[in-house]
Amino acid sequence: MDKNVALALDDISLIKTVIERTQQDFSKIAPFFIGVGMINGIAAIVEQLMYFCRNTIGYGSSLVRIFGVGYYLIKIIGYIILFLYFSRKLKITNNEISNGMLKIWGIFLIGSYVFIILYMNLIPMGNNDQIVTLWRCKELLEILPIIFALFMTGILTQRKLITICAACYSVLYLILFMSMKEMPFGTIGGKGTLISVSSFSIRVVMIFGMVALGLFFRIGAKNHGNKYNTRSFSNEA
Amino acid sequence: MEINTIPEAFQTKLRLAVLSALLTGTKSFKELKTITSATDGNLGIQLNKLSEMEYLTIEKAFVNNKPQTTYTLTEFGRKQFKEYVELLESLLSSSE
Repeated sequence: MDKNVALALDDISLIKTVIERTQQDFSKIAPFFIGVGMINGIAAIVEQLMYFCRNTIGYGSSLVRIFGVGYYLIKIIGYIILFLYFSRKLKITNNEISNGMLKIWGIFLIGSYVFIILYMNLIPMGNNDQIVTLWRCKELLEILPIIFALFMTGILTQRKLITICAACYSVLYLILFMSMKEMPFGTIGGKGTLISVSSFSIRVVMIFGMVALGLFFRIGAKNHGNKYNTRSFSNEA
Repeated sequence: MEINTIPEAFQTKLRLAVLSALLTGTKSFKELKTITSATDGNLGIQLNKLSEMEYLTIEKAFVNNKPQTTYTLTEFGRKQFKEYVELLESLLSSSE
């Protein structure tokens, strides 16, 4: 083979390797997932405060209403701020995979909450079986886009562990949802209420799952640099 | 760009790796070090040379009270890189 052609092939291979490596660095998007977990953590505290006020002061308290509305507002405003902040931050990195992931998560998180708020306003008032079923289905609007986004993340980043975890959780969620098992929730200061175990699992995933996903990308990014031996070309300079 | 007039910036693997990494956006010294696995001294010298040749710009700032140096590919650098890749492509297509 001509020496020039061999060198050209070598250089193209090097350029390709370096660009692929920069595209596989997800350390910049990792804080986004940690942020999502933190927003859900804050929302969970607000939710517990709402139950506490409801248990101690009563249903009619304006605090219950404020915390109740605040729970949804914290999430939707938090997601919008996070999305806008990271859109700007990731724009300069030109990392197409991270940018694609951010768009998917932004659309699903913000979009699902817009639908949830719309859905809650459309559900008629009352306490019969049909309305209870409609209330139970509300959680599907939250979790189905998340499961889909998790699968997309696993495929885009080529991390099998994320895809496997998403698959395991989707099966577990289906079992919990169909079992219709309930558990006491918001018991601080009184009896609290009963919520479905599947709904509780969503809270766990949205807080601890998201923080774990963020840490996974952050730690993964740190380890990634050691996977390749590029000393061979750095020594030639 | 001709085969006999390839700029100095593309004649070493480390410089080529640095320019390829900067093609996807601004990078810090630490990031470039991770990508290239080069030593601090070697990488620093090559970055300064590329800066002297106006292929990249160097920006020094303080982030969380720590000095951070970032490197960005200039328009000239991007144009030269494109021409170099086109040269490589033409070399390969002519050999077929």
